[in-house]
Amino acid sequence: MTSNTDIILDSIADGVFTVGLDWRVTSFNAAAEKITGIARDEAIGRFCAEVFKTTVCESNCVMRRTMENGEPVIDEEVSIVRADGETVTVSVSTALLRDREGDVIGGVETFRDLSVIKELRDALIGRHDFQDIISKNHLMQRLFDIMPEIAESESTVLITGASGTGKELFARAIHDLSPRKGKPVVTVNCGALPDTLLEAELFGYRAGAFTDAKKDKPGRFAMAEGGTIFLDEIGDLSAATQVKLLRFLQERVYEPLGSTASVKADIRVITATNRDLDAMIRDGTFREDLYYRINVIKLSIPPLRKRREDIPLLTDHFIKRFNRLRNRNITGVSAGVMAILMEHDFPGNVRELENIIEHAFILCRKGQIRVDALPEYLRPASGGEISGRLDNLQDIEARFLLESLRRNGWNRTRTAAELGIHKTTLWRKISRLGIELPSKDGRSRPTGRK
Amino acid sequence: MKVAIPIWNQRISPVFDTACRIIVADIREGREVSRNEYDIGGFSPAERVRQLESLGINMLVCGAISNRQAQLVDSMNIAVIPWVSAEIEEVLGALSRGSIGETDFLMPGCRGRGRRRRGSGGDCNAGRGRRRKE
Repeated sequence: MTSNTDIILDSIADGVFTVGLDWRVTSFNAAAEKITGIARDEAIGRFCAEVFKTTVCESNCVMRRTMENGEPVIDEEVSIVRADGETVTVSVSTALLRDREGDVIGGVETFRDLSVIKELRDALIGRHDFQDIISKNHLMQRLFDIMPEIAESESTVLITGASGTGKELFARAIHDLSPRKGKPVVTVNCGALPDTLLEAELFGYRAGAFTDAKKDKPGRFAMAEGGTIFLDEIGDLSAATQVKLLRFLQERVYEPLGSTASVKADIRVITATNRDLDAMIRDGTFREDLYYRINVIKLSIPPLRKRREDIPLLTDHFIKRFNRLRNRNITGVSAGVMAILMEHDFPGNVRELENIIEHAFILCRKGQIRVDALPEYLRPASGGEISGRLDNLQDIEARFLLESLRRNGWNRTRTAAELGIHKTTLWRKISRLGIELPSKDGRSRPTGRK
Repeated sequence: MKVAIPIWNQRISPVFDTACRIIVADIREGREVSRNEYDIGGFSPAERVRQLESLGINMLVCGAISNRQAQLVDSMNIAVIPWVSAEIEEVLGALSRGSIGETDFLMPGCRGRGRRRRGSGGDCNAGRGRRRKE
């Protein structure tokens, strides 16, 4: 390849690589390096499947199709697994490479990173996936560990947790990991619709079922056929709809409004609530028999205040996400912001943290997010960056540990469990940071921090 | 030690998440004592992991692996040596002689990063997974 060709190829925003008839990469432009994270000299001479690493290389290689039938492929969406383990959606096009005599000497593939488009598309429809569940908390890790088994079973799942903890993400993860992946997953917020509409929305109706029912309308259950239906806010179901759902769970059939014929359906049901269903059963507002039907497997998602160690991870995740969506280059949050976030109780959980970062992106154009970019309710009364006692990471850590110890009644075992660290690690930190424990503990250490 | 290796054209499959076949080799005292091949084509991420578990796999040697799939394999306490590109026989030979070094058979994109694993992800920045107890 001439250097002019190199210059031309490198000026193209799309990734471009060529392969010989032996499937080894013969050229790799600058955009290809950027999208795949692979340096040109690492790619040249290697098998294209081992460089490009798409999820279709083995079973439905786009380039192979072109090589076999001579037909170019235009803009086909595939996923590549980058060297950092992230999956990136790209659009690929392929064509044959011929020499001056017209003989085929290989193929050329161009590809475009669609991750921003995909992210925007997902954001528009409010969709996230398993990779958005980010945690190193031991309670969450335990949930991750049992996810494959839960996904594989056909059992009904009840997901409990406060608002904003990510119940829908778990529901989607269960679906995506299950054999039903590829079939629809339909979400219904049972609390968002009045009961009269909800029943029609869930089960559909036949023409003439009510005044405005001019023609048949399939419900969400019909839309979820073969897949999964996720019923959020299940505690908001009326008594009548509870009966219908119970019948479906018992017999796997339902009747659309205005129909006398039953419809059989193959649907997995996942439900979620932030309400105390046990209390609702005691009050008589939730059916006990339905509770036992939906509570075959129960996942309890801890609130963010119970997994504070995830706050820095999630903050970083949201910053990266908004950087991509808004085409910004925010580098992180200041120590003062992190201290405030670590101390905040997050009644709105992960969603609240996401909203806080989104708010900060409006006020902060570049560099670090500082305290004055936070929503007003989080800003300290004095305003500006926290200084003095919080001017370094050690102070932040000390203040964070103190808060956690106080919250747990100075019980170190419980504090360590909350923080997801070992008791001895906690003790080392207490000693190193000079945190004084109350005298009733009998093991107080002298120092300056209280 | 039971090792699973996804296979494609006598080489390690480029992406474990979508590999269609795996070889399962039992390596004891530096010798390969048995080898079988299994179909995993079309399996979901969870099914792949269940299959590894049901076959009693201690170690997975594979090419690229997504963070999500790596997280699932980790959850089964199966050691993972990811980001390997080589002929199957080369890999089995290396395993019989001991193990695969941090920089052996690295896939393109992993140079200078080694194969250390980070947390439960599948990053080739990141190394080996936990080793399953035998």
